[in-house]
Amino acid sequence: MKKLILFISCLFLLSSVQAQDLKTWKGGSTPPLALNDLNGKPLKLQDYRGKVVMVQFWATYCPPCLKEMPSMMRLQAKLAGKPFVILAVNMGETEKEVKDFLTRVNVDFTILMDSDGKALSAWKVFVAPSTFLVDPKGNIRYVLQGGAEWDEPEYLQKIVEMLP
Amino acid sequence: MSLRYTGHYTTRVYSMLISRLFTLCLALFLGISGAWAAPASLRTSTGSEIFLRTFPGEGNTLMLGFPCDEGLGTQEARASQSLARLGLEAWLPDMLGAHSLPALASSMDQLPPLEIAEVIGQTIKLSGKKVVLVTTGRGALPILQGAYMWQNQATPQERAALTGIILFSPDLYSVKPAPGVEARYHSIVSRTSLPVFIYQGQRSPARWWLEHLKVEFARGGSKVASKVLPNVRGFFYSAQDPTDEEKAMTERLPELILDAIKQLESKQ
Repeated sequence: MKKLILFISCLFLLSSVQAQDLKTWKGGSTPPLALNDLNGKPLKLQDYRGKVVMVQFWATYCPPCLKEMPSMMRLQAKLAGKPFVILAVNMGETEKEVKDFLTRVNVDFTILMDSDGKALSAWKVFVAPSTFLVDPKGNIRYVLQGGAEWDEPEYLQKIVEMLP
Repeated sequence: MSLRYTGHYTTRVYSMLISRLFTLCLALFLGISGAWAAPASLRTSTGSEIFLRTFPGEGNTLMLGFPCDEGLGTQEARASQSLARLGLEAWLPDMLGAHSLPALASSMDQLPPLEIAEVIGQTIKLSGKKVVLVTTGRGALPILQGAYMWQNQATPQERAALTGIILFSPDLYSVKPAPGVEARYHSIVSRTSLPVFIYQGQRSPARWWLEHLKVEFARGGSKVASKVLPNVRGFFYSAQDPTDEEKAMTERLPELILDAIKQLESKQ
């Protein structure tokens, strides 16, 4: 019984720590983000003004990235119809690597290809995944380094508060 | 009496000369053949006894490989065996074991640079060989600090015996980098003047920051070169779930080390 209580306490603490990891952005103005998607279509962050944008930097070799993707899908479903989009920026892998990955993992949010690492450098990303929450005016409001369960109430609430 | 004394004295002198000649010949033979016994451990002025795994090699270069973040350095030991067969002597000091530290990256910050400096100095003196340092991950920090400390008290002649340092996926940040914030490297990076060779796995975000790190090293006067290893993660040789490419690259560790040594020697 004691072990069970300890286990539940640990789980509770772990989820609290995850929620606290969402940090208020203090890095100044939003860096540029202009990349092609997997189909070669050029996209810019400015194209999404008026929406909350989750910009996630990820790679197929990164286990926490893969672990959090289903929760991003659930988050997207919970916010269906709301001005919210996910842009998943792949960190310098080939189109083939990403397309092979998508045959195994079911995601339907936009994937951008940072082939030469320029966006990664401009956004100063050192760890995969790293996620930025951008408000409808195009300003970064929160940042999180490492994986998360994005449909948990703590994150959902922050995102809902950012919606116009 | 006098003659007997003289004869006895002459015999003693001959005996001493023969003994010295034998010792000299033995030393020369062992020196040439490389068959001298490497020490089992090194003692530092701080009182630590640092056990060594040694892999004798016949060449005049010695790889002093410090434990990786995983502590035991299984793959490093395998690579050392292969290198020894190719003539490169290898010593692997157990720095973590000397301090009963767990095999974690955070333990590396607790290794006293003074002890590293003394291990480097003793290795150069005892082996009489040119020494190349090899380390990985967070281990790069104390090893560079120790090398810097040793260089500062060594004579120019002694300094020439330290060829340089090979770093695999080095972690040299002064604080854990946060997204959106300029990364800060430990001051030892810009103070290092040793030739440096860096290997970085392609499948790692650190690959994109390699040029920044090289610029920081160059500020201290280091001649620095690097290579991005294709299709492998940062710690490919200690991965729990290695891919086929990572297994193949791990098999190539001896070749990678020899290539890097050649590059370091050309930069001295």
